[in-house]
Formats: sequence, structure tokens, C-alpha cells
Amino acid sequence: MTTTIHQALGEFIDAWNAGRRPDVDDYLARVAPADRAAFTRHVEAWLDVAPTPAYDDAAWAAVEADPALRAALAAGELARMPVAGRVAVLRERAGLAVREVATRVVERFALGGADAEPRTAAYLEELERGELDASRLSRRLLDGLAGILGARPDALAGGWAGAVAQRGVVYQRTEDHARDVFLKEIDALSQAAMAPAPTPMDEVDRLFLGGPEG
Amino acid sequence: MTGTADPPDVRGDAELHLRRYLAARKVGDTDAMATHWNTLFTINLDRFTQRVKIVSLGHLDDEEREEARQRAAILHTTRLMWDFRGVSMGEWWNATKQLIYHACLQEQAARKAISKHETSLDRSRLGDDGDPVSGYDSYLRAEQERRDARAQDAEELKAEIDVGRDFLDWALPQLSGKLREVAIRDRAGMPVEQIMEELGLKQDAVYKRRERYTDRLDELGKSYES
Repeated sequence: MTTTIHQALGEFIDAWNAGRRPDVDDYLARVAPADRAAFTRHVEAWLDVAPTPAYDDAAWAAVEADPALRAALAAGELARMPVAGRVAVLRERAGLAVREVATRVVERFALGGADAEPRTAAYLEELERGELDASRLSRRLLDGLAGILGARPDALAGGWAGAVAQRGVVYQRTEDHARDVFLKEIDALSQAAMAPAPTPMDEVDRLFLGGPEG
Repeated sequence: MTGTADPPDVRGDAELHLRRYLAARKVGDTDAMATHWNTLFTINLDRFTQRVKIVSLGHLDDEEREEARQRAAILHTTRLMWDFRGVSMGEWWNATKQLIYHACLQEQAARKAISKHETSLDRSRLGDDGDPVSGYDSYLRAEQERRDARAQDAEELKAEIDVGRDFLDWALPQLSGKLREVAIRDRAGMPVEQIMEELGLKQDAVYKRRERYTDRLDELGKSYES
């Protein structure tokens, strides 16, 4: 037996305001198929203006236990960590040793050479200790590592990670600071010009030091 | 309208956390930003969930809808927290709606399999000019333009919050008579029995006015966005 739009909507709003956490799917099932599109428009309009319900303790506990919420909060926490911390946390969660991760990186990127695995492991250890410049990590390495560690593809290379760092700088930057940075950059460029040419990078180096496109 | 039977002003809690988030954003306190952003999201989880269900209805199957909800929730805590540049709850909700739509599109694209009973979200959400309705990326572009155009010092921020930019501030006065009276009481979370008593209406009459005012708000929402 179907019900009218106003009856279903009225009851939905009653349940919402009473903190009973109504589910639009349940109410849709009671409305005639021909009225369902109109009903969802009404609910959409209601959601735009609805107050936060007066949840009781049990309802709050259910909200806070929602798996999607918990996963999102955990992802948010992870996202605020530097890449080094994220790699370490994800690796521990995956129950993998650094050497095992290195083996999988070598396999995934078909890295050649007898020393590819120990060098990859060494780079990974440096990465977790925060000794590698995260801006030099290649995008494909970060994507690959996320997959190896069982995380979402953007867990390590998400744009927000860079955004956090950039905004942190912008908030704190003053003209004096900008001038200091400029002078240091000039100094670094001068030293680089005097230094001998670096050894060409191989595939392992490019993954860890070649920058986002490496 | 206020009285001992009124529910607590839980909406005020949401605005309090938004204000604290904005204050933390102003000084670059990322831990405090996250604390208040996450609380704001938690408070609004049901609103968010129901919106995902409506947007994805008929476009995604049950499993995909849940995946889209998860995807949108993660984007909310990992991206929108940094990208949001609004100052009011109305702007927060509009940004959240754009993000939900974006996440549903992403989910549909990820699955790459639209069965016969489903239609493309992209195709079904074309605007009057035939262009797809803007998603999260266009929201970011618009926010960037606004960011460029406006310096947000503390006084301006406070003034904007105090004035309020919510759609409701604009729309509610445009509702007529008892539609507005019912809407105001619903928005305060008042139980239907109390609304009936205060306005001298039967339950069915309250329900019919709810249908009419949400219909009117839907219409007003379209002209507000344009």
C-alpha cells in the first residue's frame, strides 16, 4: 500500500526532528513509483534547511560508530601526517616489514640489478625516518606504495598533502622570511653551480629522488 | 516559540564548530581546524548520508552508493577541510553537496559499468544550457576566484558570519503565512504535536504545509543558485 508525498514527508520530518535517523530509502518504498522523484525533491529541500536532530546518547553512539565516518576521520588524521609518517603507519597496518615492501616495489616497477632490493629498502628506511625530501618522491612510487600497503590510491600522493604544507608556509611567511628564503635560494644555486655534475640517476633513484614525474 | 519543550539549539553547536574551524584556519592551526571540521561533519553525518542516497538513487546500486558515501566522506576530511573558503553553514552545506555529487560521479566512473536501469549522473544532471552541472572541481575554481577577489581579515569574517549568508535567511521571509510558521518551527526541531497546538492545525494540515513549503524552497533554491 502506498502513501501520499505529504504523509511520507511529514513522517520523515517528524522522525528527523525526533532524532530517529530516518532513511530516505525506507520512505521512498512507501511512495508510489510515479511520485518518487517529486518526493526526493522535497526531502532534498528539507535537508537544506533541517536542524541537526536532537539525538539521544544511543543515536549519537550509532552516528559515531558509522564505519564510513570512522574511515573518513582516520583518513583525515593520516592526511595530516607527513608522507614519512603515513608510509610508516600504513606499513605497520599492513603488517609488512620494510624488506617485504622493498621486494614488492622491485617487483611492481621491474627494477633491475642485484642491488635494487637493498637500495630500495634503504631508501624506504630513509623515507620513514623523514630523511628524504618528500617533494622529490615520484608520483608513481607513491601510487604504487599506496597499492602495496593496501591503501586508497591517493592516500600518499593526494593533492591535500602538498596543500597542507604549502598553506602552512603561506600562513607564516612574512616579508623578512621571504627575503631570507630568497637569499638562501641564491646561495644554494651558487653552490650548485660550483659543484661537480651529479651521478646520473638509475630507475631506483628516479623513484625516490626524481620528483613527481620521476 | 521558545519554551521549556523546545529542543536544544543543536544547530548552534554546528555553527560554533564552524566558527572555531574558521578561527583556527585563520591562524593556520591545523589540529584545531581538523578537530572542529570533523565535529561539524559528525554532527551533519545523517544530512550528508541522506543527500548521498538521493543523488545516487537510480544511478548506482546499493554497494556503489555505499562506496560513494565512503568516498565522499574521505574527500570531506582529507580535501574539503583544506579547500573550503566559505564562512557560513549555508556555504559549508553547498560545498558538501558539490563534493557529494563529485564523489558519486567518481564512483560511477570507477565502476565503468552502467546497467540498463541506470542512467549516467553526468548526462542526467545537465543544466539549462546543456552543460553538465558544476561539480567539485568547478566549486574549487569558483572558490579560488573568490579567494583572489576578497581579503578575509578578522573583522570582515566576523561581520559575514554575523550577517549570515544562508539561503534560508533569504528564502524564509518569502514563504507565505502558515507555510513560514511551520517551516520556522520545523527548523527549530519542534515536535509535530507542539506545532499543531501552537498553530491550531491538525497533523495532516501540518504535513501538507511541509509538502508545500519544501516545494517552494526547492523553487526558490533554483533562483537563488542562478
